[in-house]
Amino acid sequence: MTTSINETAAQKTAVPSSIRITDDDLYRHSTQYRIWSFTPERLTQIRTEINARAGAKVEEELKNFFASHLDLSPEEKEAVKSKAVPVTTHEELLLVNYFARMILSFAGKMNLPTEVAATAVAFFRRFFLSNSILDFPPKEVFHTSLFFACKTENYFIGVESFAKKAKTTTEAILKHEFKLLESLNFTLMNHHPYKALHGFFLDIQNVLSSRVDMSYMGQVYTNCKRSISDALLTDAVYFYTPPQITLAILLMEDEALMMRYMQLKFGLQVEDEEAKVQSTQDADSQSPITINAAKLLEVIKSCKSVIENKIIPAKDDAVKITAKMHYCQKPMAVVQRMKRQREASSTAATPLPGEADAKKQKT
Amino acid sequence: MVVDDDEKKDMCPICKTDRYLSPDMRFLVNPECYHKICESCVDRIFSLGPAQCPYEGCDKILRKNKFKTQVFDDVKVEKEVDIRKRVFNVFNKTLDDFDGDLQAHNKYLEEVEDIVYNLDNGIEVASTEEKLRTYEELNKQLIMANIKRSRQDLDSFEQRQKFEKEMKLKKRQLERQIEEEELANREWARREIINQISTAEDPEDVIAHVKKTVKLKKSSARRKLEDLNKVLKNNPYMTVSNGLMKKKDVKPFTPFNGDRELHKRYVLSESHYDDPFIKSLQSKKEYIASGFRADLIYDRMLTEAFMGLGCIISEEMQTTQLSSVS
Amino acid sequence: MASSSQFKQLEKLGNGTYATVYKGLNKTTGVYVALKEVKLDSEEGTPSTAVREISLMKELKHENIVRLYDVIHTENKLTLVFEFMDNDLKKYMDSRIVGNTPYGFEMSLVKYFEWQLLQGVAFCHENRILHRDLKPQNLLINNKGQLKLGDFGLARAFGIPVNTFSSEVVTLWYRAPDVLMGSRTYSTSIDIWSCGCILAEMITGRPLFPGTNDEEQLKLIFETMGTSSERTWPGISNLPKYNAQQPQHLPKDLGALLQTQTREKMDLALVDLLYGLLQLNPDRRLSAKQALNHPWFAEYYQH
Repeated sequence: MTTSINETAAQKTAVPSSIRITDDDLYRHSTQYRIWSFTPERLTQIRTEINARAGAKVEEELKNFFASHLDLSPEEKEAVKSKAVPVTTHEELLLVNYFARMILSFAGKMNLPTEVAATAVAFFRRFFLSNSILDFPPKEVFHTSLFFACKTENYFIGVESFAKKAKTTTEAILKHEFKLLESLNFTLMNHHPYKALHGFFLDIQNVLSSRVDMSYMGQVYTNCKRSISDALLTDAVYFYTPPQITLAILLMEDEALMMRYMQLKFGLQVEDEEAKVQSTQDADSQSPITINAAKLLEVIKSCKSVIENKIIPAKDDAVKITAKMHYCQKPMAVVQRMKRQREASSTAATPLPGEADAKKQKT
Repeated sequence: MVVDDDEKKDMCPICKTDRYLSPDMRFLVNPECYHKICESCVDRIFSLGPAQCPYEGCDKILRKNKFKTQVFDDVKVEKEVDIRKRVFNVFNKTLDDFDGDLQAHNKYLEEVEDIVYNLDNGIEVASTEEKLRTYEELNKQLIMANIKRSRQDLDSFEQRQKFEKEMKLKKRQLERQIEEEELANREWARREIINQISTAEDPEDVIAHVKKTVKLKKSSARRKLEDLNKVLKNNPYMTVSNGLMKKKDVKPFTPFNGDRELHKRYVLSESHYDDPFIKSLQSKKEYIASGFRADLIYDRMLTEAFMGLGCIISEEMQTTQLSSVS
Repeated sequence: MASSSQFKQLEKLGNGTYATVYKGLNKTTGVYVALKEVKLDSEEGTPSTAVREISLMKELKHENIVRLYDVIHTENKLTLVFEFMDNDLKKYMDSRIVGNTPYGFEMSLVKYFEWQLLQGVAFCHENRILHRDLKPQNLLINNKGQLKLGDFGLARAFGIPVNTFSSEVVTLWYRAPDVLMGSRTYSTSIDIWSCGCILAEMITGRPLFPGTNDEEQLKLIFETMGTSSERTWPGISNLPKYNAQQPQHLPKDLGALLQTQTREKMDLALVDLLYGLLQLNPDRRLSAKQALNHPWFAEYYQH
C-alpha cells in the first residue's frame, strides 16, 4: 500500500485491538467509493473497451450490409465507408458530456432541486461506463436519467407530468429505465459535494473567524455551488472524493482565502512569516487533525487541474458525431442521401446492375 | 387462508383419513414416484415386501425402507433437492480441484447442472444415470477424498460437541458420586461414633477423629471434580457461547464494528456560524416543535465536509484495479 | 450476477408494502433466501418504493439489518434477493398468545431484541437514513436469536429537514405524536418513538397504543403519557393538528402500568429508558446512540 495522508489508517494496523472507524472509512463503505471511483488509467481502459466492443459490432454490421447489398455502386460503397465510421472513444466522451451538460440546463428549466440534477448527471455518465453511445443514443437515456434521479432523490413527480414538461412521451422515458438501473449495478446512492461545501462554509467561518466578511463568504458560497455543478461534468468525480472536489473549487474561487484556511486548519507550512506564527498557534488549539497538509494540497491541486481541463463540446461536434452514429446504424441512409442529391442534380446515370455486381465481387 | 388444496393436503388419498380427525398422521413419499401416502397405509401395503404404488396409473414398484418424510411442501422441489443431493455426492469437486481455474470449474458446474436438469425433468434418464455411474466408478478416490474434506469442518464441530457432552456427563456423574458418598459418609460417621463411643473413654476425641476421616474421604472425589471443571473451562475446542443472551467480548456501542473515531476533524462552534438558511429555519415554530436543532444540522454538514477527505483514490484503488486490468 | 433460474421459488411468506415475498432456495449453494417480487408498473416504471429500498440497502451492511444480496430482473418483474429470516417479531409474539391472553417475552430476550433493534437504528441514523416504518412486522428474527431491520420501502435519506416529508409514514400504532399532529419536518426521533412502543409491546405482548385513527391514537398517547404544553414542548401549538381544547391529562406511572401486564420485574432502569424513548417532545427523546448507552444495557458492556 502506498502512503496515505490519513495517519489513523497506519495507527489502525499498528493497534488492532482498538479499531477506530474514521469518517474516511465511512466513505470507503459507500458504493460511490467502492464501485464508482477509479484511477485515471482504469477509467480510460473501461472507455476504450466499451468503444472497441461497439466499434467491432458496427464493423460487423457494415460487412453484413455490404454482403446483403451487392447492388451498390463503387461510389456508394465509398460514401458508406467514409460516412459510417464508428465513433472514437473521444467522440463518445464528447457527446456524453454534451448531453450531460444539457441535463443540467434542462433541470434548471424544470426547476428541479440541485441534488436531483447532480444525481441525474452522475447516472447518465455512469450509464456510459458500461454502454456505448452506438448502442444507446444519449438522447434516449437523457430524460430517463433525469426522471429516475427524481425517484431516487425522493422528489416525486409523476411520469405523465414529467413527460409533458419534458415534451416527450412516457414510453420514451421508461424505455431504458431498467437498463439504466442495471447499468448502475443497482447502486443509486450519491454523495455530492454540495453538502461538503456547506460544511466548509461553516468551518471556514470558525477557523478564520472575524477575518472574513460574511457577505463576501455568501458570494463565495453561491459561486462555488455553481462551479460544483460544472465539476460534476468532469472526471474529477471518479478520481476524487466530495470534500477534495469542494476544496479544489474553493481554491479556484479564492486561492488566498483557501491557502489561509489550509494553513490554519491543517498546519500547512508557507513562507509568509506572519501566517506561520498564527498557524502554529491555531493548529495547537484545534483538535488533533490527522491530515498531512502538504499531501492534501497536492491532491487538491491535481483535482483542480482535472476540473479546469473540462471538455465543453461545441454543438457542431455533437451534430457531427450524431450523424456518424446515425449512418453506422443505418448505412442505407447514406445511399439514399446520395441518391437524393443525385436526383436533385439529375445528371449522373445509375450504373447498370450487372456492372455494379461485377465490381463488387472484385473488392 | 383456506384454499381447497389445503384440504387435500391434509387427507391421505389412499385411505381418506383426515389429519383433523387423526392429528398424529404422518405423510411419506418414496423417491421412485414421490406420491404422498400416509404412514399407516405404507405399513399396511408394503410391510410384506415390495409392491406397486397404490396411486391409480402409477406402476412403480416401491419398497418400504425407501419411504421418507417430505421436507418441502412442493413435491417438485423435494424431488429436485433429492436429485441434487445424490448428484452432488458424486460430482463433488471444488474450485481447488481445478487449481483455481474458474473457467474450467464453471464448465464443470454447468455439466453437473445439466445432469441434474435431465434427471429432474426425465430427459435421457437412462444415459444420464449411466454417466453418473461411470463417473462414480472412475473417480471413486477423488470423490471419497472430497467427502472427507467436506466432512472435516463438520467433524471438528461434532467432535467438540461430543467432547463437551462427555465432559458434562462425567461432571454430572462425579457430582452424583459426591452426593452419594457424602450421604454414605454421614451415615458411616454416625454409626462409627455410636460404635466407638460405647467402647472409648473420651467421646470428644472420637468425634474429632471420625470427622477427620470423613474429610479425607470427601476430598478425593472433590479433587476430581475440580480438575474436570478446569478442563471444561479451558475447553480445547474454544469457549462455548453461554446461551444467546450474552454477547461475547461486548465493547460499548459500535455500530460500525469498531468505535467511531472520537477526534473529529472540526470543532463545532455555533456562535461563529452565520448561516442565513439554517437561522431562518431555527426561528420557525413548527421546526422547533418537531425537534429541529441547528447544532445537529451543523454537525451533519461538517461531518459531510470531512467524510472522505483523506481517501486518496488514485493510490487506494491502484492495487485493486490493476489486478482487474491484467 | 445472479439469474432467476438460480433460485427455486418456494412458499409465499407474505405481502410487503409494495411486493410479494416468497421463500426461495439458491440451487447452487443450497441456501435459503427471501425473494421479494416487485411487479413493474407499466405506468410509472420501477416503483419508487423499490428504488428507494434498493438504493438504501445497497449502502447498508450491518448485522442488524437484513442483507440485500442481489437484484434480478426478468420480463415484467424485479426480484430483490434478501437474506432469509425465520420469522418476524409480530408472528413470534402472536405465537405466544395463550388462549386470549398475550404473554410478553422473558426480560432477557426483551433486552437482547431491543439492543439489536437500537443497534440497527443507530447504524441507519449514522448513515443519514430514516427507516420511518419500524413495527414488529418489519423486524425479522432467526433461530439464532438475531433481530434485523427489514422492509426499507418507506425509508429515506435525510439532509436538512425541509418540508418535503410526507406525514403518511409509520403504521399508526408506532407513529410519534409530533407526526400525528402533522409535523412534516421530523427527523431521527420518529424512529426512536417506534422503538419505545416496540419495547413496551415486547414486555407485555400487547401494543402500547392501539389506536384506530389519528385522533384516537393521540388520545391514547396523551392519556398515558400526559398532555403537553408550550412549556414542556415549545412550539407545540404551531403544529397543524394541535388541539388547544383537548382534555388535560396527567402522566401515568408507566412502570406500574406495564407491571400489571407482565410477570417479569419492571426495574427502574427499564422504566427510565422507556420514558427516554417515549418523550412527547421529539427534542427530548433519546438518540439511538444515547439509548444504547443507557444503564439498562449495562450488562452488555461487561465481558
